[in-house]
Amino acid sequence: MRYSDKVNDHFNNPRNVGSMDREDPSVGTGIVGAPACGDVMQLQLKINDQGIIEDAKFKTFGCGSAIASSSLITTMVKGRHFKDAESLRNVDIASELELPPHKIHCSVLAEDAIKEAIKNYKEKIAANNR
Amino acid sequence: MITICKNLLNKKTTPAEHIAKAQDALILAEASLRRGELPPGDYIISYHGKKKNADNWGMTYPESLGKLYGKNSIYISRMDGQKVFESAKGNKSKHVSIMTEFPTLKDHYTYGNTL
Repeated sequence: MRYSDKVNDHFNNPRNVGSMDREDPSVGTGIVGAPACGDVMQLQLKINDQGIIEDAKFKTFGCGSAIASSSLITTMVKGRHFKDAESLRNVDIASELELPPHKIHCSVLAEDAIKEAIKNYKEKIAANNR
Repeated sequence: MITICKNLLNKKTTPAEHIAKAQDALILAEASLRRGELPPGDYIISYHGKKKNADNWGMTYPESLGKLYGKNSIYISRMDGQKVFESAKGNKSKHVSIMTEFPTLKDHYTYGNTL
């Protein structure tokens, strides 16, 4: 199987690898995937008071497509409002990376990671407003 | 809930690679817990056992060096003592090496506690 140049680029030079303080109330953390199946992705979004995603970091354990998908989404969401980022769909990621059909699940994982991270952020905000 | 022992997170005494390895194990453990692959409960990632309280559960890195069991130096433990893990030998255990529980870590890190 041959990966697209974009997958190879993000796999060989992943953007925004790392993690942030998960206790920070402005950081939403999403962890998705299953160690037993092979792919686990952690996506963290730092969101400012205006709702803009200031920073995004990921750590992914998985194949090249999973790493490329998570690297790509960090670049796609930075600078966007979290409500806008929430509307990203896996097809946006899959088409950008030209993922083959049997690797589409990697883009689904990335979409799930965005949703989980934003959900976690919203929960923190709600808890702080109580 | 899963925590990392403060003795392991001590940047003055613990090699950065070990802290990174424990933090990666935390991500994998949380994913397992959320999917029900690990039973609900409290877990701790640490060097081998010491005082068995949350902040001081395992040894420091210097204390762990030279121990007979030091080869598999970082463990994940069930804090209430339930035997929920399967060891490399197939035994039910209340703790297990993170490298046994999460083999994907072997792709990224050395196995033992010596670097």
